[in-house]
Amino acid sequence: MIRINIAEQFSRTPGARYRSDGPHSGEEFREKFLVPLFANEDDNSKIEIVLDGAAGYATSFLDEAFGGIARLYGVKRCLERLAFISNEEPLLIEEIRTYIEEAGK
Amino acid sequence: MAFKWGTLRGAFYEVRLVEIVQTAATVVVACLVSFVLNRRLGTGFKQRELVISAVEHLRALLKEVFSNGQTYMEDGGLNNAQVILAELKQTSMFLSFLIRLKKEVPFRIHIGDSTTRGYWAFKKCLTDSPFGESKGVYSLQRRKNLTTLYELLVEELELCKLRLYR
Repeated sequence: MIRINIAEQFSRTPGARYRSDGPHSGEEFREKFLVPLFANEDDNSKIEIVLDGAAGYATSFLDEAFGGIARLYGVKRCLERLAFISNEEPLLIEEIRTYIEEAGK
Repeated sequence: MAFKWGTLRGAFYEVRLVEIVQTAATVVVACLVSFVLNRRLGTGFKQRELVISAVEHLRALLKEVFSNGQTYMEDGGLNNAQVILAELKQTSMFLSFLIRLKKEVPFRIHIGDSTTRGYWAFKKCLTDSPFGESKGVYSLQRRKNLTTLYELLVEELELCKLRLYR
């Protein structure tokens, strides 16, 4: 299992949607952390994303990072491989799931 | 024999011991029932008051986000954006707390899926693109939507408070 702690490995202050919007964007996170893990189609290992510790997540960041990876590799595959941990903000997990599911519509 | 008003008959004072005991027992039982009911109702009211203050706190957090959100939509600014995200995190944490609280009280709290969906819609309206963009401009329709979604949330929280006393 691969574990990614956003606050520790990426940024405590995640930014907006695109790289052009500024640092620590959802696009940057997706390309730096998620795309390399999804690129190998035979790899079905779980990816655990720890959301705690960050100052807060904008919808644009979440949609571009997680909805974006679902648009690239499919909703089913994303839901199967991604697992989210948020003790501070439990509703965030459901919120991200809606963005992943909406990506398939 | 004509009844003399103002004069009590002798039989009035002839109360038997059994009747005294019965009366005393009735008074004791009535006092006990009243005490138990008062205590239960009192606890119920206190719990309801606590839930109401929690709902009011959630409403205050939302008001803060809405107010800062309107300022951000006008002026932008990275610092303002970070403040809004921190406030939204606090609001989400408190909403989770209220949802968990539902399992702890013996009455129904009308907060749940629709409140959560309303909160997500409100958050999305404020923090989806162009949020965080250096030259992001919010449309007039988007600003109106934010107000509408905020009002819907406030209405839902007010109804939740009212329904606590049904």
